[in-house]
Amino acid sequence: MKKQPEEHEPLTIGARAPRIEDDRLLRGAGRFVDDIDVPGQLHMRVVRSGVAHARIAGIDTSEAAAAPGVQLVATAADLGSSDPIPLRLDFGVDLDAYLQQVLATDRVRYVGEPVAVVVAEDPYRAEDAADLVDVHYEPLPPVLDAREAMRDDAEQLRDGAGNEVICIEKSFGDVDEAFSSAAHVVQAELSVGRHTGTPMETRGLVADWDAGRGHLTIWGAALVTHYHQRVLSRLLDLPVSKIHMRGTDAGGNFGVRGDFFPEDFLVPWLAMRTGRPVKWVEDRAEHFVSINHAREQVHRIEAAFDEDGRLLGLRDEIWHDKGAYIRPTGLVVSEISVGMLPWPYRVPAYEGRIHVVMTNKTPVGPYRAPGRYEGTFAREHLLTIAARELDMDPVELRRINLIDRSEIPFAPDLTIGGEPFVLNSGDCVGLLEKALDAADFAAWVEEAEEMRAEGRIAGTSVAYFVDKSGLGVYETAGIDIGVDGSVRILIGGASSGQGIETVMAQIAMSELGVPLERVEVVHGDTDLIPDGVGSWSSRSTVIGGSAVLNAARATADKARRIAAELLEAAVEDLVLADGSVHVLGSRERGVTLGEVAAACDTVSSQQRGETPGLGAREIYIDPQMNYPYGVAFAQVEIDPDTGHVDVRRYFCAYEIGKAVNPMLVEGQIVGGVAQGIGGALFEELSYGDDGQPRSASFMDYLVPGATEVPHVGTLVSEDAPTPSNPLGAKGAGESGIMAVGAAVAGAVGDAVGDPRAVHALPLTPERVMRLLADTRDPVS
Amino acid sequence: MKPSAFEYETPERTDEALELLARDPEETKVLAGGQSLVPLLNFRLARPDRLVDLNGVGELAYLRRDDGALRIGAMTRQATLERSSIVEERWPLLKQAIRLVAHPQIRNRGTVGGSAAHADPAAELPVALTALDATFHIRSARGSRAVPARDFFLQPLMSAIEPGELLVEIETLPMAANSGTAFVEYARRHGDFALGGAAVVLEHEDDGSIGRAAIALLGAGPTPLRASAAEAALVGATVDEASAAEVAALAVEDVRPTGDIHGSAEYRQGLLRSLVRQALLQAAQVPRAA
Amino acid sequence: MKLRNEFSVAAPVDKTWEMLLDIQRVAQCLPGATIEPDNGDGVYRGQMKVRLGPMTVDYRGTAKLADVDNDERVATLDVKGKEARGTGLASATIRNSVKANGTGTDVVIETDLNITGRPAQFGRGIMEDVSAKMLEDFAKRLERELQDDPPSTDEGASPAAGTAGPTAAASDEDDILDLGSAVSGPLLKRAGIAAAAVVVLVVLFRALRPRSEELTLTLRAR
Repeated sequence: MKKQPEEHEPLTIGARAPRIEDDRLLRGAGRFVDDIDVPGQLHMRVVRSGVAHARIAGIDTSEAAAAPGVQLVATAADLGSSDPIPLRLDFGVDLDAYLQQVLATDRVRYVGEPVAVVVAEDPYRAEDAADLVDVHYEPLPPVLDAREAMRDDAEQLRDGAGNEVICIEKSFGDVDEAFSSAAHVVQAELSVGRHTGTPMETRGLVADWDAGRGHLTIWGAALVTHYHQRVLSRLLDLPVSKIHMRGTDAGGNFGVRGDFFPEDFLVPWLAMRTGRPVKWVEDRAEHFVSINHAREQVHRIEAAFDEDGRLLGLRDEIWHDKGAYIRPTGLVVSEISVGMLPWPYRVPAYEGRIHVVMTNKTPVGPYRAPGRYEGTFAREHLLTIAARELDMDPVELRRINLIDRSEIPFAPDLTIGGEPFVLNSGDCVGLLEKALDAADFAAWVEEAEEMRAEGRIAGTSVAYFVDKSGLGVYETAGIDIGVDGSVRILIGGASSGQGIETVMAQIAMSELGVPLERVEVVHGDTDLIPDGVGSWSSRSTVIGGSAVLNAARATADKARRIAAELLEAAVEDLVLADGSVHVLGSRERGVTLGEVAAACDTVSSQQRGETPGLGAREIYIDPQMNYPYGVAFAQVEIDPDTGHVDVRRYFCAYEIGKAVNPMLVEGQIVGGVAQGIGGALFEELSYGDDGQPRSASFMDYLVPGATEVPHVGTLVSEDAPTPSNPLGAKGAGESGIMAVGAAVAGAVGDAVGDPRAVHALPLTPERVMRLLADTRDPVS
Repeated sequence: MKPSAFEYETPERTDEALELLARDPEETKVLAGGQSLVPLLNFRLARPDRLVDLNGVGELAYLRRDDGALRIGAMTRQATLERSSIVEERWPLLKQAIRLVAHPQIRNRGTVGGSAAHADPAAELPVALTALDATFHIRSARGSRAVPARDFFLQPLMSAIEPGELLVEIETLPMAANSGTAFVEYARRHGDFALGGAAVVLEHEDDGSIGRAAIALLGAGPTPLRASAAEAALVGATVDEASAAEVAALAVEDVRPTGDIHGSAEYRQGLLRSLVRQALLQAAQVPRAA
Repeated sequence: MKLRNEFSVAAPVDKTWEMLLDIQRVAQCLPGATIEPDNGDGVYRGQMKVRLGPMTVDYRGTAKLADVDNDERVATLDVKGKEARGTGLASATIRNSVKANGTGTDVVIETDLNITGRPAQFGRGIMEDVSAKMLEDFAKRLERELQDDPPSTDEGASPAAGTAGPTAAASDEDDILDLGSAVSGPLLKRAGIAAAAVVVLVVLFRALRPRSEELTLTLRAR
């Protein structure tokens, strides 16, 4: 970062800049999809299955079609094409039999599956009519457990394709030898419940069909916009150029919204079909059964150790309940689960297998730290158990097994996300020491001991984690500077409230020296930004930010070239600051960026042999994913009367390589911890024996609030910039949540005196009462 | 989550409301604070033909001391009760209970009468009013009647209010001097429906023994329940750790809570026992501190 | 959800068994249910509107005798319903069995109940409470039906069985619609003039508690 001679620090890379999007968002002036209205619009209502598993014997839409205000009622038979929704992340496995149709044809496989749609003059009438669609179901036995689904006598969800989609295996080293020669083998069976991300804003879409031009405009496909555009082109048989996706604000994502869902097809299709704009805003009751669910894994995990507690081998067999269909993100969560499991430890031999299994529940996709929340819990809790069985300090056991900085780059024979896994930067032990110090973890341990001495039930724990960031190879960016000096940054990513606008502006400003208030960041508009990969996999800063950096550098270079001409100065003497280009050390010898942009008029540019305008378009291609890492500490106290777990203290240290905005990184960590506490203690999407969702509202799906989340201590470390991108930055979005399940479970295990008693998350009051009974039973 | 169509009436006086209710009692619902009814409408679990909104009926919102008794107009907001110094001083159980009702925003809208009439077995106010032996004053176009708490809560979501009737006032008698009260519950998150709870009123004799006790249980069955055997066992006794544990065990001996995804019947029974014990110990301490 | 109710009647076992096979009479005992005569196919049709507090669920459905074992004296009744508005289904398999007991008869009713759709999708267990209560009422009405032939409107004689808790509040007000149920007056009144044949459950909750301004705005918008 270059130092510039301003009176106040410029809000460039590394600054704790206030978010530029907050002004509108906090004043309630954001523009979300439900704020978009097009004159003449109709409203869509989806008729969803109320049954988990059934054959559809018939659908009678006559009463609904005759209801007041109804324009159209459609079922699968009306769609014409029966193409399923295609994969976005394709690992070359044939999954056609498992993909979801837009509307169910002859069979429904989960409660909430779209069966028919109604469009009417207002949302009330649409819902009235949807209630009148008469679907005749012949119920089938539901399959609700992944391991049971794999049994030979299990009910099959599909004819001609088994309930187990695939078993993905990853291994290296001689695992059998490791276990047979081990001094100690430690085993556990650990499960994580079914969660989802519960963004504040539910999904929604508005589509406007211009029949004359054959042109479709769509608002609301907020997160992987260009992918949506291409899928729609294919499913609607429209040229990509005729589909214009428009950006809006989006109230949260957390990964669960980043798929192409049936409604993403239905809304534009209905607009074309009816010739009128169509709007749909998902209600929260629909959201709970239609958005991607996540997690729900069972791990049977074991580790082999030598005499001194050094890891010799690791084995894990995982059952992953993927729900009723494979959605566009395909097998990525399962693949990452088994690929990321061993890290950050020096594991000489590993064998991981994951069974991807279909059940009669809502499909499962990515959610913040997919596969890692679960895997970190399984691995770290196993280590916590091992520390007890080997009579070692849990911190020490980890310390001696962490990959050492001398072993970097660390490249075992393993692929993740289709590319070789390489830990190319880092100092895991160094971060552990810094974190122990910063949190004063020894004092936490001591405090818990004192509490136990007073008869209270308290415990502490440590959990290490590794994230991956930057899947998706490339991103596009553009910068345009207007003749008034205003700056517009175009990005292929998307804003979901995470602060990407501020981050991209800060990156651009590091090269352009323009005050943040002169900057606008534009995203999600396919007419302005013809290509983009989107915001997921903690990739926006890493890949999108690198693209913006390159575009800003190209723009600054051009500004210097033109200004050199205008000022009759040498290019290398010019600096960009405060919205102008001037000679270093001589501020009065300068021109504003607006003047430079004006000088880039078409005629002058032609004469100079340059492209007109001041700006640049760049594509950044990332050579490999990066692997940020961190360590978390937790201290909990259990109420013996209720089984309530109070998280008293939580600390998360994180190596980010380079923090563009440390305040936002801390915010990501703290928010992630809050969400992680949800999965550790409160949140679970439960199903009854009949496959009915039993936590389909915020009354029963318990998201932690301010009173359930402690102050979260953070340490953002920048010791190990990644060499793979020009910023040196690693992803931040999934950091905080990663180890919470592991840390809370470990602390509960410590509190009750035996981590082996903990088998499952979330640790509900009843589960905790049971493990209290199990561990306190004095056998007397 | 859009309600099905209904007619919407906004009376300004109680008589007017009663007249509207009498027109089609079976198909008319009363809207008070709307904190339960509106979600039910949005989920379409409730589909009344007509809604009579009482929010314009100012004469139903009052808090009055009358001959020692507390008279609460049915439309009195829960927050009003929560902030009343007379209530805090003379009927502390109500304040103890109301502070556990959901969140401040909900208490600002939610009414005392609405909570009572809704008769949710996990609601705090019905339990507190049961412990206080409150009287529920009900009116209709035909006349009025008073129902004691023990006859008011009939089933989950079912009170003694008949179609066409309106709960207009809740009355609680003055508490005996030297009384201690406590309301204890456990909810998974702050403000959630409690998994169990207990309201306790202890009238202390001069010698420190208990002259009269009331124990009402939350989440122990389909309605607020009084633990009569435990109440009787307390008379003449003193409350200490041992006796509180013993009485608590007696209080939950015969209750059969319903299990659900948040906790099994067995868990809830154990929880209730702990909560009754805690409530007894707290209620026993109050007068000594005062 | 599996529920079990039992009672004894003074009537002899043969007579009781015979009456249990009269499906229309048995189905009529489902709280608030009446059904249309069958078309000779043994399938009885109808609809039912059941209310609980502010909630209503309408079902349309059928009832038929699925299985009769004259030797063991076990009769199984299949009841199937569908929400008239909405996607939910309700089904119940009701297995009635009788055994001689000295001069009288022991009757056991085992019900396997399955509800889907909106009313079933809440985690709070009040649906179980309500179902149990409904089945209890069914058993009591059936008991009365089997005891007295024809049924009397006499109130208050039926012993309250299985009520939970130290002092479960329940009033036995007179109610002309109540054909011998111990269920409280208001519940039956609000069960309305019933039809059809399904055990209905309603879940209750106070829940999401949106701001009440929402309602006002909604109404203005319409």
